[in-house]
Amino acid sequence: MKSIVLSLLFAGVSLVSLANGPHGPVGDKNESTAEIKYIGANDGEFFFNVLYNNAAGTRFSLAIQDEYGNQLYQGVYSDKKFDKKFKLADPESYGKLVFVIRNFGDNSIQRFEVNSDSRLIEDVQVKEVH
Amino acid sequence: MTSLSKLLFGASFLLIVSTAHAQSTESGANDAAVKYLGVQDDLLVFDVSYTNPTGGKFQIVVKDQDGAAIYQNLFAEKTIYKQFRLPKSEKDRVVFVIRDFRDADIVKAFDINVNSRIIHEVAVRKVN
Repeated sequence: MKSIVLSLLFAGVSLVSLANGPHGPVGDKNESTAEIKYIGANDGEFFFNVLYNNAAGTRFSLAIQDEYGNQLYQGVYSDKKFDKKFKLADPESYGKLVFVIRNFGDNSIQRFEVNSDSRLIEDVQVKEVH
Repeated sequence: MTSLSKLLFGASFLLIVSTAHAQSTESGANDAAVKYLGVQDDLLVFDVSYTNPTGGKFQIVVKDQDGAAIYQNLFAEKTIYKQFRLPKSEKDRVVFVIRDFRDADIVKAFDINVNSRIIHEVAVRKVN
């Protein structure tokens, strides 16, 4: 497992200085709907915030996979209010990420796809030298 | 950029010659102007125009930051207009020299700075 690629950042880590603004999740929401938020990029790394309201406090797993289904990270938790940040060290290597939250209490599965696109922008300045 | 690559690029310059296109004057007894027009197709576009009323021979030379000629040619048109499309590197200088072999060279130098940055667009979608 490429556990090095993803590392868990504990809640409370300041990400205020990240350059790009957050992008909210898409989909219907209810009390137990998880949220995956792209927080931004910094030094070539992508940061994500995973929120999950697990009111019953049952065990659930969070898995992060690449586009081929290879597991990059898996953790089992039982937090009632799950709120943790993850960073992806080498986002250019992955065309797509999949976050899967499986609740062992009600056997629900929530799946999120993360697609990214990077573009090179060049600012050109030409000045005549006198 | 190496001198060799610049020479290769120099050989691939797109040159458009027109005798009808007049440019604003900037210096010299003969009217000469070099203008930077912007970036097109990832290339830096410069217009060079020169009025040569006597019809005598003159030379246009384009040099890189090391002074190496990446383009040079002789002309005798009374009015000339050329467009040069140059590849860009991160930090560079390009110098245009118009030499009529009688008066002092007309020299126009441009500093080129390219700042690159990567924009990330990330979309999160719930799939079930």
